[in-house]
Amino acid sequence: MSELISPTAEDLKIVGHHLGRFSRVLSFLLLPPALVACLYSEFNLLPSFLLGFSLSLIICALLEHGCTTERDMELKHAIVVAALLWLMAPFFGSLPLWFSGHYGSFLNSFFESTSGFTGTGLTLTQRADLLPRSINFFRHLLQFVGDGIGIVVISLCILGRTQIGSFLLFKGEAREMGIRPSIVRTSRRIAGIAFTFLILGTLLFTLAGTWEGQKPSDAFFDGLNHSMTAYATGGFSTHSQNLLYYHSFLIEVVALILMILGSLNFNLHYAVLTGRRGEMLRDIEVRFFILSMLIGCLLVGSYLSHSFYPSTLTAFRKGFFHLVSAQTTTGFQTAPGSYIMYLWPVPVLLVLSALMIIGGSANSTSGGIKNLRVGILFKSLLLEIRKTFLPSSAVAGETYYHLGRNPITEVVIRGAAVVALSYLLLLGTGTLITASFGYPLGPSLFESASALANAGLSCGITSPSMPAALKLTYIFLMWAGRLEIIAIFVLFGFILLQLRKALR
Amino acid sequence: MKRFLPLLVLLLLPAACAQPITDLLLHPENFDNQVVTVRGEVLGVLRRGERAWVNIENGGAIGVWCENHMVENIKVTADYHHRGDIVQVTGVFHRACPEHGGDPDIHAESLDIVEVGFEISREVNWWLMVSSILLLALSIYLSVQLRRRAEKRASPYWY
Repeated sequence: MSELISPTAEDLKIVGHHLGRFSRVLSFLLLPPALVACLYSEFNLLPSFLLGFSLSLIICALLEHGCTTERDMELKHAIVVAALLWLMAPFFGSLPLWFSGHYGSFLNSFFESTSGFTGTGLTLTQRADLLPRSINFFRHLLQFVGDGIGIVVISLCILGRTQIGSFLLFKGEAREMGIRPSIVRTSRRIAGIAFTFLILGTLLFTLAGTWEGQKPSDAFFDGLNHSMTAYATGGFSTHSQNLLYYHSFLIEVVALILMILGSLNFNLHYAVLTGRRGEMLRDIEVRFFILSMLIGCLLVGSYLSHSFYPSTLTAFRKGFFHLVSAQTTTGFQTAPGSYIMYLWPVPVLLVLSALMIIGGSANSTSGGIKNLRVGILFKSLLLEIRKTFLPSSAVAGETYYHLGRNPITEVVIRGAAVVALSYLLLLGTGTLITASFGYPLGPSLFESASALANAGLSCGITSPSMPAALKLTYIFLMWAGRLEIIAIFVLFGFILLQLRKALR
Repeated sequence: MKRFLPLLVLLLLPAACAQPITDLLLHPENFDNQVVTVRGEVLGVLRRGERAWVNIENGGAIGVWCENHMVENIKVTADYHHRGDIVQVTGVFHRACPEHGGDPDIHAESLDIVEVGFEISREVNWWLMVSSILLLALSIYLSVQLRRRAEKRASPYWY
């Protein structure tokens, strides 16, 4: 086995420099909420945002200019930068939350910010209705930027660099290529799609909210925020009851549309927008999504109608909404967490957990293993079964349709299996840790799956009073899940090799 | 003091009878289709034709389905700048209302305002404000200076 190369001082400089450069863009995220604070006469919160912005700017400037290098990133640097960027961004985001005093401790603020940036939606906010509007807007903005667009994508849009390192960093953030030949153009196209749906979603939510009895100004504020988190498949809400606040079928329909749109591959959006509508129905991800949704709906609907809800129609309505929320990894809820934890049958929790772990499409705002990988693994399983019934001289092959017809090769299967296995390992670990704090096994699995898949559905375990060790566990799961785990292993490898070098 | 005791009891009795909303949400099977009394702060009012939803909160939050005339006296809803009206609601609790898509709710028979809401003043800490503006200026100056230095170093005429 060949010797692993330990990182050099130059490697550290490259990482530090690019980390500073990319996170500088993110520090500017703290300014729009300051404007919202002025707009809603929340002047007492201005220092929280200004202090957060100033500290972030200083840290970024020191990193960027303290680690001067001319070299661009290689793959290992890019993955480490992406992994660290996804820690740095929540750190910056946690500063104004902490300074505002609404989250009690820094850990709670960091948890909320991580949940925001990763698009998870698990929240430690108590009484969200009473939060300042600037803080509420900030929480939703974190999800829109972090998960709806992607922090590397937004940095590339603004920095506009087209070096090879940018491409690698893009991959490190678990985004794929393909919309446009240039990485910057692709980033801008992704941002363009996100903003288009943001405008559309805000309009729909505002109209629905006004129709359902809200004041137009409140409906607009809620609509803007829910639109950001629905498209980003994030799940934060301006209300402690989440979407149950509205008691409205219309709001549920708008949320469903945006959640499904957000969970579809950006390439498919682009294909449909450029007139290639057939791509949508042929794609393995869309087919797998529809199939899993149908099976899930049948199971959840029948369990709920037999056990809890007064009519089959009601059970299917509740079931379908939470299924879509789970599989798109959004986390909007129209049922209280205590109902999910204590009253819904355990098989329902298992089905929802499975769908959260499967997740939405690759190269979308969704989390989880992704439909594409699970679809490939499913097809390769069928292929293995078919092979046993074929004569030994026969050559069996299988293909899948995803932006064209592709063969299922050993490499493709291995790639999908590694990610799926990593997810399952972390899910098992998260479940065991949660259960060790005395929570029942079903809810422990559900909450861990929700954190790992960046879903955000909660059965009530996530609360400000939960143990600090569990908060740290979920922060780790959210972070690992957002980066599709492999980047985390690379970062740990980088740190271990550095330590080994230092010990020598 | 003795004179005020009966008055105090009369005032506190309804509050003591009120069921915590968290109890309804944690053990809904114990209260399903029964008349309950709850107290909570008004989070919002959504008017739907001749009826309205009033969302109230007290530990947990729940929607109250009531006649329009019941909500006419609600003046202040809770937000960052206001403590909302505190209302006492008596009505039938449904753990999964067949009329409202399976939502947990209370169909109100009466809704009384027991405490009128008020505005909360949010003082600006001017010392903190000035410090944050100074730090902001410093951070911008520092990043501009460092950037200039880096550009100079990158220039071929830099010695």
